[in-house]
Amino acid sequence: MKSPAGSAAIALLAGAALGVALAPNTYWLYVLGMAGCYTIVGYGLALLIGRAGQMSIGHAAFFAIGAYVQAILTTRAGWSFWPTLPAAILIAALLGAVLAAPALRVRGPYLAMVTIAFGLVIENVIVEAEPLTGGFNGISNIEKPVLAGFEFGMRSHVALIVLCAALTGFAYAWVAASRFGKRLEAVRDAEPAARAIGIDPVRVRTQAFSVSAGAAGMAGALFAPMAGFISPDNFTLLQSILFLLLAILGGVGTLTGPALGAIVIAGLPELLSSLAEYRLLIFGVLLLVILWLRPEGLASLYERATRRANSVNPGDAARALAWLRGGAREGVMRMHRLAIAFGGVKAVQEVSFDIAAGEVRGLIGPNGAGKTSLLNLIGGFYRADAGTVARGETTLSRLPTHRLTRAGVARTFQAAQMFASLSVRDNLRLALPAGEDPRRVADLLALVGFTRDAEVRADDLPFVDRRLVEIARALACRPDTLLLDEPAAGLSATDKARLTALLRQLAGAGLRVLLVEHDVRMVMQACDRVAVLDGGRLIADGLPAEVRIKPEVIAAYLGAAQIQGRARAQISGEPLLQVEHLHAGYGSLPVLEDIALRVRQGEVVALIGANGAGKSTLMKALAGLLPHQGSARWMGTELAATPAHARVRAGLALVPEGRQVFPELTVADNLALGGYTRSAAERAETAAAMLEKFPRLQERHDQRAGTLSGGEQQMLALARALMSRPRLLLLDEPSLGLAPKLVAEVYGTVQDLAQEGTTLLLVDQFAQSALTVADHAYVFAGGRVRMEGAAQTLRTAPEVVSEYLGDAAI
Amino acid sequence: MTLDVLFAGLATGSIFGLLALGYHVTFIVAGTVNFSQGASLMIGAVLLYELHVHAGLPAWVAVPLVLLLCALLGWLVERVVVRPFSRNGSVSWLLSTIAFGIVAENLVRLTFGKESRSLPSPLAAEPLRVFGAGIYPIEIVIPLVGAAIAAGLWWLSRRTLTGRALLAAAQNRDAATLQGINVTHLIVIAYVVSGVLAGVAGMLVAPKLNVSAGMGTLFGLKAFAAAIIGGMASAPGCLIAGLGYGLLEAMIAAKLPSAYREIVGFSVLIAVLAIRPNGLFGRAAVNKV
Repeated sequence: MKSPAGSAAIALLAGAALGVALAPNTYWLYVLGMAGCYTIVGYGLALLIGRAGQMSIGHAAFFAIGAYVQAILTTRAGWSFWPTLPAAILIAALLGAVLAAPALRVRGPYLAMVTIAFGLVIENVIVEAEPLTGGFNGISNIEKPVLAGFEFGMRSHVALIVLCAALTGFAYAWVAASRFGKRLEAVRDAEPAARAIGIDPVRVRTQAFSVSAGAAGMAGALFAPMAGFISPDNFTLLQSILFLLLAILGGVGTLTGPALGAIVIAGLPELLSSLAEYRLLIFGVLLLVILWLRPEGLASLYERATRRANSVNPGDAARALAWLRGGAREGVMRMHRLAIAFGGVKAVQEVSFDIAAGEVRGLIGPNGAGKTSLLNLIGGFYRADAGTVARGETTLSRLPTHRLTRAGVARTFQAAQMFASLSVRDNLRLALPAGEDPRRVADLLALVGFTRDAEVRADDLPFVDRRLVEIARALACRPDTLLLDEPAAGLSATDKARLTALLRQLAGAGLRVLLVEHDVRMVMQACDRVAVLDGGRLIADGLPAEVRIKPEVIAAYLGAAQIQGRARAQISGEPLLQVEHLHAGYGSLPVLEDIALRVRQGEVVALIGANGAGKSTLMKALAGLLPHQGSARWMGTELAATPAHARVRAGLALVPEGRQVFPELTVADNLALGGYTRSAAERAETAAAMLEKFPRLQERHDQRAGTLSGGEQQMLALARALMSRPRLLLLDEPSLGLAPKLVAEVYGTVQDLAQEGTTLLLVDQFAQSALTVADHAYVFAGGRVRMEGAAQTLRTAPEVVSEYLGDAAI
Repeated sequence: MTLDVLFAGLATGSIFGLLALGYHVTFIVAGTVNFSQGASLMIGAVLLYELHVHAGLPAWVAVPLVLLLCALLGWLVERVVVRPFSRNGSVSWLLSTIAFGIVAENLVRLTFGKESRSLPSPLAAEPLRVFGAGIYPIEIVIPLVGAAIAAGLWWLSRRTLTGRALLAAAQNRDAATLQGINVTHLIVIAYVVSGVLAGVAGMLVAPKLNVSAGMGTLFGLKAFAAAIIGGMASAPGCLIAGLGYGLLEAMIAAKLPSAYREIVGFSVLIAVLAIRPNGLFGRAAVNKV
């Protein structure tokens, strides 16, 4: 081992060996033995916390179980030491697996509390089980081991502990690098994606918890004979906290961290023995300081991740395709009357369609149509209320995701889900069926067109490459059906063209591809047949050219509501809002590029464009919910420096997409909060005006907002935003999910506001309604402004329809 | 259940309920809690002892002063122990608040002393005889004060703008921000409320038990267990589960050795979470992929 971690491990081990040989008295041997026991517990916790992303504040219980099993079997049942060691490990590991059942269903503070509760239960059971455990008095005269007539003394027993600690360290390094260790990290980094490549998260977490409990049990079994006497005082909550402290102090992601932490925790109080009273105080402060300054732990100061060099082993795309073809199964995949509802909202209603082998199938629909819900039903993430999925004669519905993957259905996610801390190669390796030739990894990467170093950590990848790697990872499962959830979001036109070509290749290899995508233009090019969803129902299904001219489809995308235009005066005021070169996105996902637009005082400006074009992202950026780069000036001053809540006071109010009223508060309270920035008197006055303007809200005044209908909630959201008397009202998708009659009503109100002189920036994917009320409009596509002009002119421009449904030529 | 067991249980249960409310109020707004609420309770009790018994201030001066100091403590906990550690979804705040508890407990041990001291109070001196059962006046006062505080908080949260802003932020943080509400401020307020609740609990429990550095730990943990059993997101759930936990403990303590109290209570927690991970009164969230 030439890595710094390896050298540190050797140095620690040599130091411990020297310590055992040279320790002047039993006292120092005992301290060293304690450090050894702590090390063993520490590696168990490092696996649990560092690799599996779980935690435990109850490991003293497993330590106790190991110690008591050992002590009881040797003193009461007359066993020799040696068989009690595996017995203690086994029993602790078993109890760990049993506790994992309730513990691993919960997270964070809940998990902490369950493990604390377990520790306290065990501690008190030991007190009460007096005939067996000796109660408060404990068990004394625990003998040290005997081997072939040789009776272990303190020095030889401590040597045994150090040996066991070293072996645990090696075992930890081996497990961490093993397929199991990588699976743990995969589940920690991205659980849904782990399920989607066939890993059962409950199972691997339970295994990790059990292994970690077993390690604590082993430490306990070694501790008892060293101390010669054990009592409940050795196994308190504080002990559990100390275990956790030592793991964190050393560093749970490092090789030597647990050993280092154990030495500090066991040794520090002895070095500062004159400060015995301050021991716990020091530990508390130490924990705070380490969390504050170096949450990765002390060992991370000298251990740096050493990266394997790039293996120059170019893959063969053709070989990958041939391999995939070999795994493709015959038969048509049929979705039959699938349905699911969430809290009364019918997200998917009786949808039936099919995908033939060798077909790229498109699934499109406006925002909220139920596309992703349908994908999650097919992919096993949701359980259908009704309906079935079958491939040929095989029924696939009701299988949990990880089993569905093994049955041949793989998927990608809307926000690319990588195992962030693993290399690209390991991301794919985990997905490969067991025993498969590791060369497949390079082949698949070549197939998707990934050209970088495969040893790079996934979270260091640029966005486009994550998309590619995610698709390659799904293919590594050797699926016969591939579900893609918006794979083109954030990709450039060139990348989209390459993705289209890849999908055609996959279909050529006999796979079924289901493509859910906002970019309808791309869907029309890539797919053999296209299904269109709206409001959870299938409204069209057929060849791309047929689907795009269907009146229902055009209405679903562009809106069907009949709204009368009203005459508008010419606007020529100063710009209130001026946006230039604006960029924004979510994390690594770029959404908006180089946006420029302007809103004048008294003007109604519409942003239209298909779902996913970036309109709502711009609204969020303007309201301050998302950071942006570039310039957005509000009445002459840059907005970027103003936090979101202060922008309301500055005169900007957003009615967010999906209305987002406060469901548990009354209508009156919702309105009051809209006027949060104003005085009580102003609030009361404006609220009265709003109730007059929206009589329906007056009737519902004391009802909880969550009980209102969609249209009423939209009115409430509007009124709530108006309560702050904004200079500019940002209105995001006001007609989303509303019936045409209600859309007309909402737009009537919007027109009233415009007539009163309210300045409006309006986002609507239903272009027709938005263009009817607006003075000026911008057409968004792929995160850019594609066209702008007078709303009147754009209403009849054929290019607008193309932006939504692709070009007629296809 | 005899009358004295009932009252003892209600008194302890009210303490759990007050602490559980303290967990609840920060959890709904910030998604974090001060895991060492027990240490805050202890600090409330110790401060009352120092000001009232040691410095000889009359109760009507000492009690408001302690409340003020506990509010300050809540603010401090948020600024120093929670906020710097609650970045990007990590659970460091959980460990840092535990560390805060250890530090607080040991600082008090060093200054206040290792031993327990009794806080003399007329409310805990002589039991009243009610139908042959012995009930201490404090055991009547505690549930009454607890109920009054719970009702007061309920009223404040519904009638003041800040209270409603708190509820709004708990329901939808972004939408609250869009109304011009500074959610960061609300989180500070929530921690102040949480600190005051722990302080009240500490002052109420001080005459009943003895005041010592370690008095709070188990209280804090059991109250957290109660909050989880009831459902962290539900204020009535926290209160009911707190009272229930107190009554359960009192009934067990009347019949069995004290270790059974812990065994049964914490086993109930594990069992509840195994069956209903969101607590008895909590609602499950839909997992979005």
